Amino acid sequence: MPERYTLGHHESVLRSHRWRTALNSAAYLLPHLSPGMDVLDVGSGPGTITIDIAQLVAPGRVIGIDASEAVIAEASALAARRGVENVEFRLADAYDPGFAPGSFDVVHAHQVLQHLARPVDALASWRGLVGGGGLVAARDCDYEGAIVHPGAEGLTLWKDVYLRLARANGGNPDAGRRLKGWARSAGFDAVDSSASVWCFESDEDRDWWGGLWADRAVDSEFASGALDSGVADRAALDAIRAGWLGWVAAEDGWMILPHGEILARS
Amino acid sequence: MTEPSTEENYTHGHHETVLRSHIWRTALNSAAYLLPHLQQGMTILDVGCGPGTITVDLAELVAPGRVVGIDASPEVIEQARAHAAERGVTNVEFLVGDAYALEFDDGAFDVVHAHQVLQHLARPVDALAEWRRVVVEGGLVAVRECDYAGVIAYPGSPGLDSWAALYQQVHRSNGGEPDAGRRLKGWARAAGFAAVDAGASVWCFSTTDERAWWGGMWRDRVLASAFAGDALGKGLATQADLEAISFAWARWAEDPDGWMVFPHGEILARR
Repeated sequence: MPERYTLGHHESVLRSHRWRTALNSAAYLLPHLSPGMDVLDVGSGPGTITIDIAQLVAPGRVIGIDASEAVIAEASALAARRGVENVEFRLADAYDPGFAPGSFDVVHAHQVLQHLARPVDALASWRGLVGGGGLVAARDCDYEGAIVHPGAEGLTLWKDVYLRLARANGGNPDAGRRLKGWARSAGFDAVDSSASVWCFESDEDRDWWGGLWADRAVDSEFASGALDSGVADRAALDAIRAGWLGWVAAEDGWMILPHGEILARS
Repeated sequence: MTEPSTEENYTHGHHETVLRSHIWRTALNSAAYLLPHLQQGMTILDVGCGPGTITVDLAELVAPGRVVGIDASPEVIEQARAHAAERGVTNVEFLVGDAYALEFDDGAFDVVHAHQVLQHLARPVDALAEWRRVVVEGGLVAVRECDYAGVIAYPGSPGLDSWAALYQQVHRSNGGEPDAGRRLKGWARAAGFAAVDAGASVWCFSTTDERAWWGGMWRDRVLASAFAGDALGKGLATQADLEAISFAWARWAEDPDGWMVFPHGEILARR
């Protein structure tokens, strides 16, 4: 079964993807990058991380690939706006990006494997693209481990619906904890695995992150997917929205989304 | 031993299997969020300093500033003094003291620091209010606490699930809050701090050595430490339950796919 991207590319989804930078999403990789390296960024989305990486490895060449034509166009426009020229974006398949073996020094993927039905196959394919001595770097969420405080009925429902929908779409919402095992199964000899978190707690952060999920709950492919698959009904989605809006208003509000990370070599 | 001023007990006790993890702690792996705010000459109180490894690191960072570590246990205070002497750090002293009733004047310190302390206290808001009293106007109270309900252990097993459930029961039976990490910001606000920056970080155990060390520690700790005594004495587990949990930790440590995250909440609360 081909997997579906659980979140889709509604504005309320891209709002969070555009916030991503190499620093808040790929800090574990940065010490391993140096000028002149060629990097493939799989599932590059709107390209904010990709372009950051391109600036760090210039004059090395960076290619971002994604399955969505619309975000490829957005990423290309952003690169032009930021005046970064050693990066390009293409439509391609994560399982078979279409490059010769050993084409890259680094293959990077942020929050991609969690959405794939065959993560080990994808990692094995990326392993071929870096060849011996190259590095595959991946970071994925672990939604099962998300902590949202203060808790509320709508927030418990949110986690339950998200986990079930992501699984119904063929993904692994607790991918973070599985990355090391997947990389070992894909044939990598040396896998370093670490963890980091996104933490949202200030008034601005809660307003942004909670507002995003409040909107996703009633609009976006999260909402339509949950309704179509029967994972949630309209009342449940309304409760999720109310749960997030309540959390935004809670001055004691604090949440973390843990991530697993791997640096894999063969 | 001095009588504790309140009803809570320290869940872990100070068995060798507990100290094995406490002496691993450094300012870098346990107080990184605080380090950018430290300067030479600052005075620091470290509440619940245990064997003093973090305290002595902090003393080196702020020297010639004066650092005081306090703990309720005279035994670990002795250990901390020996540790400071061994490292040749002289701007630090260790005293037996009560986290709720500090024997210091108002505004006596630039920073009050506490690592994995509030989770063991029955009245964390009262403790934070007392710590607030002894920092100067504009000074910082810095706290980092685990959030046990958020622990991720992979691959999971019935034995590790039992550990997580039993840990919650034992910790709560001693008057503490095992999910303190998520509550820190709310507690600090309730204690009267107007400006509270909260954050989070993790301990991650993944390499063969890390798994052998951390998993081996819990393998031993559930059979021999205050935790085991409480679990058995309070009727929360049988010896067979503890042996099953110990076995699960040993298995986890041996699994090359094994990966574990201990999430922590952190606050920097300004007076």
